Amino acid sequence: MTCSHLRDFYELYALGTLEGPERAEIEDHLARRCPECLPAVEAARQLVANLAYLAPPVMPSSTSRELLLTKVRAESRQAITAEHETPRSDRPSAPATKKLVDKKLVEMKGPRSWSWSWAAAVAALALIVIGIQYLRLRSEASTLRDELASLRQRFSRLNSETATYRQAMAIAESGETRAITLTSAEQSPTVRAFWNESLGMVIAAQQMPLPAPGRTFQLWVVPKAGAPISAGLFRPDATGRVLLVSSTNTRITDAAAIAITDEPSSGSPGPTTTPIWVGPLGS
Amino acid sequence: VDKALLMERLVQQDPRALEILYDRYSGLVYSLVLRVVREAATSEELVQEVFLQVWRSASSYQPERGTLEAWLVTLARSRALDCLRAKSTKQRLREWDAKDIGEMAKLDDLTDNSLSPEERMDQQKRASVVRKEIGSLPAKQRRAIEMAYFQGLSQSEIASALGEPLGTVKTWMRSALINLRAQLAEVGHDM
Repeated sequence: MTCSHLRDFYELYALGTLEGPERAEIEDHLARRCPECLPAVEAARQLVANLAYLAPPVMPSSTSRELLLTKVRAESRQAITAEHETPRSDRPSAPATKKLVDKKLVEMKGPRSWSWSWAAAVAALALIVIGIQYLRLRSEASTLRDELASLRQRFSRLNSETATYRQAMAIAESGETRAITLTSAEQSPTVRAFWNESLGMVIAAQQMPLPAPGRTFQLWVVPKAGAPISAGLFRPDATGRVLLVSSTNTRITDAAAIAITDEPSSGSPGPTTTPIWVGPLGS
Repeated sequence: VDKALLMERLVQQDPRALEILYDRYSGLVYSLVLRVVREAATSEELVQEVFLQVWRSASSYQPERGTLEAWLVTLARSRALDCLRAKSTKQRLREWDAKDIGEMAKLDDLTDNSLSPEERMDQQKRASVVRKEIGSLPAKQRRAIEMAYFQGLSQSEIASALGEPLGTVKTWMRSALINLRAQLAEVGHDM
């Protein structure tokens, strides 16, 4: 295919949706660094990148920023250290260094006023002290490593929780979010759902009863046509609070209701019990 | 700091340059990744990976091939779509510790103050043109663009999902992008 045949496909290629012979042809032209196709595809990529602005604006957490910058600073320090450790041409050559060391040794030796036995005793004592110090430091280093690993785990968990809250907030605050109330004939607390097609779904509740041991709650999206689709498993915390952030590809307009059932702890492919909470979506 | 100088400092591995870059673009990158992956914790990890990739491969950036912002967005989208594709075979949903939703209001302000007034205006103008142009499309055409960009679906998958002929979907997407290009050029705000 000539470049003029491919002109109609640059945008679809940049979007990543192009298939078949046209895709293969463009890739062939790009591999050959075709002077017409290459800049045109780059311009199309530039254009397609603007579609990122369709995503609802949300900021990442500050902990995420700190984690990244800590990694980058550490890498930067390592690079500087490695550079300093690299032999450089302006440093003394090996023979010259040896001469310097020999000279220094001669200077250090001084008059032979100490007997060899004294020197050996001092050296042995020094070795023992160094050995003890080494063992103590090794034990401390091991403890510090354990503490660091535990702190990292905690930091990562907190980071994950913060990210969840942010996502939940973004969903709850968006003007495009649909609020749904799930009620139950058997259980007292009301469950609130906030569903945003772009950002996901939040389930929030307080004073929710705990499922029996070995059981879990499972959230379902019930489409207008077809079987219910699982949207996640959850258990309330010890105080009965729930905050589940879930995602579903079902469109709100295609859903009839959302529901919660009691299921085995690994969840079920389809509901096996009667829903406890149901929230109809209405028209 | 202008973009060329920022990039120069990144190539020299100056951590402060990455900090500035992150403060300028992390909101856009995170919003995109979250829209694709729809899971906050994973999205934050991916955003960190994208900026680390930029840090480690800054010297490979070629300004004549596109803006820094477009490079970042393209890297982020690619990683997010890879993650989405991998996730389809994994457990897609996660169980979270329960917390009071009211506590979330105490979190940091989400406003991004890192851009200069000119840069912010430029970003806002472009965002507004993109949202207006794509938002004014008929629902199915808009959906086709979103499925392609945020879900990484092929044109035949989109045609099948929307119940439309393949040729129609191709025409929709191409004309939407060409119109968008014209609108962005008209206001002088290409990315």
